[in-house]
Amino acid sequence: MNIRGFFKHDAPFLSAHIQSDSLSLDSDIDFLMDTGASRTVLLDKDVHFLGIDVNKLPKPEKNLGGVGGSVETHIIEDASLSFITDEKSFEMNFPVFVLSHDLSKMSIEERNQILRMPSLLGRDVINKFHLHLSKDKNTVLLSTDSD
Amino acid sequence: MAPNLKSLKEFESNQHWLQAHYQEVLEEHKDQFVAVWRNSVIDSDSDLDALSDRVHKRVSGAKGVYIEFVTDQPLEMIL
Repeated sequence: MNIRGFFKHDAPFLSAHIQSDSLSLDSDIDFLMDTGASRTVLLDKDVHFLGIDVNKLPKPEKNLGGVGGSVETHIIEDASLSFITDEKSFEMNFPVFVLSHDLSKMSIEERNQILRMPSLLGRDVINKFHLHLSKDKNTVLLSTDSD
Repeated sequence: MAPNLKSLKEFESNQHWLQAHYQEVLEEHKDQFVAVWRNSVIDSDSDLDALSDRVHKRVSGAKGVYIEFVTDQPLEMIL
């Protein structure tokens, strides 16, 4: 089974459909494939565009840490991600984290900087596949085959 | 095709269209968030929340709509 992504500038991305009954969420997202992230997380751009009210979401036992420090974290416990494959589709059901910054005290420039950051597809998904990446060959591929 | 995959196909089509037409979109919408649907820019704004409100009124559930900040300054990220 092959799930194909693409390069945006020099960064590998993968598109997915996300659903959550508890949030009435049923939409599409681009994820930056990030082997440095242990968890798949939605960031502010998608949180704002999809109208996710993080206050309705539970918090995980501990906040996620990153290069920029710790940020407020919530969790969508009933999330599912669907990907288009070469054959048909593949669906995964697992908790997806949501990181949200307090944008209210930021300048427009700072706010837009945060709102440009993509959601991240972490190792909780990537490690279930073989990852093939080649900028030269324009290949971004998650595969169940090792070749 | 399942409804969620139909929506994702539309999303990917809009994403491909924006990549192919990035320079011309940049000339018109520099440093703005753009909403792409059915392979054209349907709206843009420097305020993502304002754009989101309008797009959700125009396209039910904003299904398949692709949102991107269009700029000639690629985002440098250290994650």
